[in-house]
Amino acid sequence: MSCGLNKFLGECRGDPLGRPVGPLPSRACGLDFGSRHVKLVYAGEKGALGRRRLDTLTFYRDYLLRESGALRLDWPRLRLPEPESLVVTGYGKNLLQQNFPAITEIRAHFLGARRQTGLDHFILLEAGGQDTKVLYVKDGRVFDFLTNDRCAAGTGRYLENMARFLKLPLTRFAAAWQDPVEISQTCAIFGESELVGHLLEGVDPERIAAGVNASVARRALTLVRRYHCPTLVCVGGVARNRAVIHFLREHHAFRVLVPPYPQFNGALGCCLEAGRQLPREQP
Amino acid sequence: MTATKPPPPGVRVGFTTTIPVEVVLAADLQPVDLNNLFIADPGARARVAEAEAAGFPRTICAWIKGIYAALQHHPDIGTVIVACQGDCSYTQALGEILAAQGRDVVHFKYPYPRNRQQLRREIRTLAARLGAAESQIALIQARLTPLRQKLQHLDRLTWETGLVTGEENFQFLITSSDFASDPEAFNLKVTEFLRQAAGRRPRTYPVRLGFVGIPPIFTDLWNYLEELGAGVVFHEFPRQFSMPHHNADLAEQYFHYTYPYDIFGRLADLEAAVRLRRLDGLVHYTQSFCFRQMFDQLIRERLNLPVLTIEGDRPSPLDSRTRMRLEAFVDVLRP
Repeated sequence: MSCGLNKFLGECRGDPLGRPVGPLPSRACGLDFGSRHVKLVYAGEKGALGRRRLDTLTFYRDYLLRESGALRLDWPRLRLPEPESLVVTGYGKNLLQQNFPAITEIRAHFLGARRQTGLDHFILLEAGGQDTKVLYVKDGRVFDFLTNDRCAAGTGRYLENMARFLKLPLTRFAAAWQDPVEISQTCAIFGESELVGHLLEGVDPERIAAGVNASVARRALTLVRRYHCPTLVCVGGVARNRAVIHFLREHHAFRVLVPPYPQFNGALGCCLEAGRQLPREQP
Repeated sequence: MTATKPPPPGVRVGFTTTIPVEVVLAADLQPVDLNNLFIADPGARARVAEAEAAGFPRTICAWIKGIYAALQHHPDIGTVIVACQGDCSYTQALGEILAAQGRDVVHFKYPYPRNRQQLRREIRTLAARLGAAESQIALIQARLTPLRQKLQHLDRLTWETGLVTGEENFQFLITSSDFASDPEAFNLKVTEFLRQAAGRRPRTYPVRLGFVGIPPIFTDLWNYLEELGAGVVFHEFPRQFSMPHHNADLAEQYFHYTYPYDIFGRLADLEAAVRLRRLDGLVHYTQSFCFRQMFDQLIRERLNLPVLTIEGDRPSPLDSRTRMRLEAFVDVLRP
């Protein structure tokens, strides 16, 4: 869990949001309820952005207040002033949309990626804790999208499980790309037995990790290759896995971009939508 | 064992997919589309489980399992027409299982590749097998003409004026494969419905969708899409079942029917529908374990508009993941 005020999006190309985080109170806020973490992006008066990431279980337990059948966020506990405009998305969306304005994850990620890259034409790969989405953005709007099968393979949760199984820290696991072994199974359950086979043969766990990372990239490519476009933008937690990004780049079918804070892309989209919903200030 | 005598007049004859129903009616038999029999049953979901309990694998199409189990509840349907070419290999296997149970199985083959002369021969063979005279077939076809025209009008009212909802369109067109076993009564129902619809206010939708593929097995699809502000103004196969290329020559009519033939005929039909009906996007419904899932890529490549592919297995309301995907799709199409 990370918390506290952070400078956000300072590196964004052509983006005016790189100025130091403005003083509170923030006016617009976006929340992305993920399966692993709840991500929060908030905007200060002068457009500077801050971010926060909290464990999903902790967030539901400690920061959501249930009063007379309604839900509200515990802003004092979050140590944030209540925003004038809030938009949410993600797994909790259906439950939460009766209490907060909500947008679809597709829209949230589209808005976030457009803002982070400034591009009009790209494929967006969003690989999160529990699922994978691919958006095809053409002429500045979502032309088409795909989501993965009803299967955990290739998701962040799958990578975490495999790292735990190999007893490798996630950062080391995510840096493993050299000399990968061939992993044919991407099933979250049966994949483990294949790993056992390699361990029995005495294969170095880092080579096995590299094989798992390569298999995840391969699986993502089966979705991504449906569209013909020279630019692939990767967001979501899996985009922080450098080895997966390496294997995507190795494919040479497109340039691969990873924005500075890929995990906060959906929350940023929500924050931008919340900003749009604010009444316009008089000059 | 396969019987060779025509079934006695008046009995109910089942079929596994749309076949030249005119021949069945001309033989004075009652047509029963077994897909409709299965899905209209309030216990449709239980039927699938019953077939699995009887030994059907989990990994085959639920429509096949549903047809099998529905027939077990309807011993009165002694004769079943099985499309053993132009549909799927599951159907072929189902026909053999039904024959082994002692049912009278009649095979009908849509020629592949599409061929007029072969189709004509196939229709003649079916007529001889069911005991239908050619003159009687022509008479039935002429009698069905006004009803088929009404169904075309109903379809037009869906996409042109919105007087007919997507769900109503689906229900009427899907029923046209067997006319609910009684063309006269169905004709009256359609006539009355059109009279009522004419008094409605025209409706427009911010998002106009078309459905591609076999009939969806979900039970609450249209209501949910309406909630989202999307209208379904095209149903590919239900429209095909209603014979939009109605023709005095029966073989010609079923030659233009796209369902049993190659994907390219379907693509031409879809391209025309996208243009004429001003569709914003297509929802490609695919059935779990169906070979037609393989056409998804061609549909995406050849039709220049957004396509959402959804998959269903057994009769049920929409699952939360499919609801999320439909919501996102409508959202991106909204102007």
